[in-house]
Amino acid sequence: MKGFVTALLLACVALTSRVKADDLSGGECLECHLEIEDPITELWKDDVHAHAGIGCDGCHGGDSTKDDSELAKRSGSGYRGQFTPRQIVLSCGGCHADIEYMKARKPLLSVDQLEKYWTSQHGKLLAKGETRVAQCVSCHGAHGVREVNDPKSPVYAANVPATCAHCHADAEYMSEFDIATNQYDEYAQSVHGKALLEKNDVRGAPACNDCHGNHGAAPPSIDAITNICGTCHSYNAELFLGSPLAPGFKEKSLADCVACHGKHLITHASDDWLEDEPGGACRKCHETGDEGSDLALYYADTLGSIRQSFDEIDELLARAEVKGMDVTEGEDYEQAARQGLLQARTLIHAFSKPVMEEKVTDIAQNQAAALEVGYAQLKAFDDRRRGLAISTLLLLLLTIGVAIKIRTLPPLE
Amino acid sequence: MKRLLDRRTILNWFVGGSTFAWLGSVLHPVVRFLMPPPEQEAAVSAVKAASLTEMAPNSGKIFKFGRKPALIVRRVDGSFAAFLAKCTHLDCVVQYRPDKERIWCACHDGFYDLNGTNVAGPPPRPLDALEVHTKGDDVYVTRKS
Amino acid sequence: MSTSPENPERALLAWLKDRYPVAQFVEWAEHKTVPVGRGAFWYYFGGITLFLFLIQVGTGILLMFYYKGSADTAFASVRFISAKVPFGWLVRSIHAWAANLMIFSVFIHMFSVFFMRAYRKPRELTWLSGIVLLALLLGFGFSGYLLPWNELAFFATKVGTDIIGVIPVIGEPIMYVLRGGEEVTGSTLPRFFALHVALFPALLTLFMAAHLFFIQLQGIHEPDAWKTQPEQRKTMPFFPHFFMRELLLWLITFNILAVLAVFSPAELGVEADPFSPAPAGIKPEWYFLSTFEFLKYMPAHIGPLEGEEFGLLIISLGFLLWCLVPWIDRGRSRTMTTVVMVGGMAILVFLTILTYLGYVA
Repeated sequence: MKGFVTALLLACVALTSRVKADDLSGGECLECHLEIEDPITELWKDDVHAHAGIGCDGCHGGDSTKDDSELAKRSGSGYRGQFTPRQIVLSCGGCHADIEYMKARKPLLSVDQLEKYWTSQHGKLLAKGETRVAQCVSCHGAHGVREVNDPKSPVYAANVPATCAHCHADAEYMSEFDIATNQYDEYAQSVHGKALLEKNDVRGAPACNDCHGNHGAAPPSIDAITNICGTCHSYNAELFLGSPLAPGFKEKSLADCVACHGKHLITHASDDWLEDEPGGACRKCHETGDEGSDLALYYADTLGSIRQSFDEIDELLARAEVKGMDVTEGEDYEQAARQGLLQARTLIHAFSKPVMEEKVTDIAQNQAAALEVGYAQLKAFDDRRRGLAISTLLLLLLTIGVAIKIRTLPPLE
Repeated sequence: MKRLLDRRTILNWFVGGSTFAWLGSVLHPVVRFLMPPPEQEAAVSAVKAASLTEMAPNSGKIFKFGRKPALIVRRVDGSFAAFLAKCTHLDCVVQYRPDKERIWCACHDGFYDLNGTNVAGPPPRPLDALEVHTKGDDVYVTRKS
Repeated sequence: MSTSPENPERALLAWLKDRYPVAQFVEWAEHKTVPVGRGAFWYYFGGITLFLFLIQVGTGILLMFYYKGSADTAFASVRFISAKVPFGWLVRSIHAWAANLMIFSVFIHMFSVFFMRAYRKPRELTWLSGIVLLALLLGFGFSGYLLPWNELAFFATKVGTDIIGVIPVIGEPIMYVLRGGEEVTGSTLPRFFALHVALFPALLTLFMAAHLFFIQLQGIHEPDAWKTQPEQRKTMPFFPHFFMRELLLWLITFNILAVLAVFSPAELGVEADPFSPAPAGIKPEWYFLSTFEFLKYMPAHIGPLEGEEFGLLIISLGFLLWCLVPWIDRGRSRTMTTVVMVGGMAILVFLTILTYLGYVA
């Protein structure tokens, strides 16, 4: 009985949630296409335009009041069948670039998509007649267009990499365009890719469009790179632009952040990069013995010894903790020092020894305090043992006394 | 008259003496325990975060709330707000940016307004808010009740 | 004898004798005896339990000087005791260890009484009051466990009160009252604190007084064999022979506590967060492990009852039988005695195995 009621309820919910064709705009076109079970009609049910009162004729023209196909598509009805890519762009842009039209319907939506599109690599090629490039429909879909923040939308942040990869990772499709096709694979392994695709950090982690732009997608210019990375890594960017390295990079046309961190395959930066060894980030330009190499060596040594101190602290605190001592205060200092190390790694981007020295002093103080807690706790444990030994010794004396006393008691009969 | 040092007397002295000595070793910790330690309790319900005189309007200060870093902010209008200072994106400690009158996380440029609401950048949710009370010149922070 | 300033000790005695029947008391004390024989060792455990209780009272009062019984402050104040108060770690660790040892020694005491068949007439009420004392001690353990307000205690309390809630009809209201609401929250803590430091000590003192009073009235149980073979009867005076030996054991127990406190101090763990998911490996204190484990093995349903309900029913029946032991085995039928003794042994083995299983699980 219970199961039946549940099933009934579920059926009701399912029925009501299914949008009836009558509610969708599309007029007689939709009626007919529903009858022939055109898959487009299924997509159309979720399309933002269908719910905004825009019918098939909004893009395709024709007369949606006629229930006869011939009549509906008759010449003079403005019917346009399938679109060429260029037609698509102009058709979408026809409304979306119309400030007055959009203001009345979606006032918060920007209207610069078309303008930006023509500045994009895709748009430029399309303008030259190349039709295999991405246009509106390639990313947004045609009849099932969803809002950007709809997780089912192909342009939802977490879906963007796959959407771009649909073409850009297809070596055969891209073969004529003289462009790499490993971006997606590299990105998926990068910190950003892992954060977005594995941890689903849609607010934080950048997808392709966050660096390349979306409607104006193009490889960023070298000058733009620090600003692009600086959108999120603002402090790093600020430090770098104020550092002695910035003018040199500009002069040599080096791509600031990318020069050391790479682009699509950005992995967690490692202190090893600073080492004065072939393959080290600094060794790409600096040679052993020059000013930059000395600074790198200083960084590497300093961070190395800080890390070593952490090992020492961990070992010491663990040793005290195993003995049952309270080391939370030491852990607090260690935590502060670790936060400091995080900041120190950021401060590398200032490429200035004094800036780093100040932070290192701060870290060293916290580390020293943590060590002090550890040693104090170990000493306190020894004190406990000593106190216990004294007390036990006194008790032993007392026990012996009482035991002798018991023996001197009159014997039992 | 008994001999002054017969076996019984020695034994009694021995037992008495060691009783006193041992009791001393028991009472010593008890007496020390009862003496209030100089350092007062670290993490209690209310923490003195700052003083009115030290905090000018449009400034912020990191303080320790129990074991966690916390941020107290004095708004331009002189009112206070306090939050746990851990950014809700990753684990960085946030700070006050007087130039923007906002709370800022340097790690990925996340911004919170002075109600703790995440307004820009990666933070997925608002900061955990604390409650501020002033008493005389002292500014106390407590958990949100 | 008048008050003589030359001998103050005697003067005080005389002063007392003038006002109270001191002589009668001394007379009684001199004649109080304890049986000597094979089982004599077990007679010390009642006294050890008493001693550990006194330790608990002492350390408990000390802890209350610093403990703050509210969800906001409890954890921090316990950490303060452990980390900042001089010898706070010692007082807290002794309190924690003595609690465990006390429950251990009270179990030894109970089973030794059981196997010596000391519960028989005329000591039925001593047996019953002892069972009440055991229940109170378990209550002490359960309520005290929550007080540091750490994660482990929080979830153990959740599970423990859940089990109470399974009892039909009265279970849910009791659980509601104990928790101070639907769930274990900050309102639970003051309730447990009140039980731990006010209600339970009051009740315990009352029942302990009754328990000891019964023993003083009836004397200590002597082995059954002595009734038929009076020539074997052998006793020692309570004062000073037994008393001194007991004292010695108390001192040694105290030192064992100190050693345990130094080498295995009470841990604190992480502060309880009512909104965090339960961590893995939540276990109650060892003396509840057997119950916990027993209920775990119950199938989902047994007949019309839920498995847990059935388990609790079995436990309650067992407990009732345990209370009624003095009336079941009155020493009239040898078969009955054997049945009860074997039953008791089975219970002991069963509890030990379940506790072990719970411990290794």
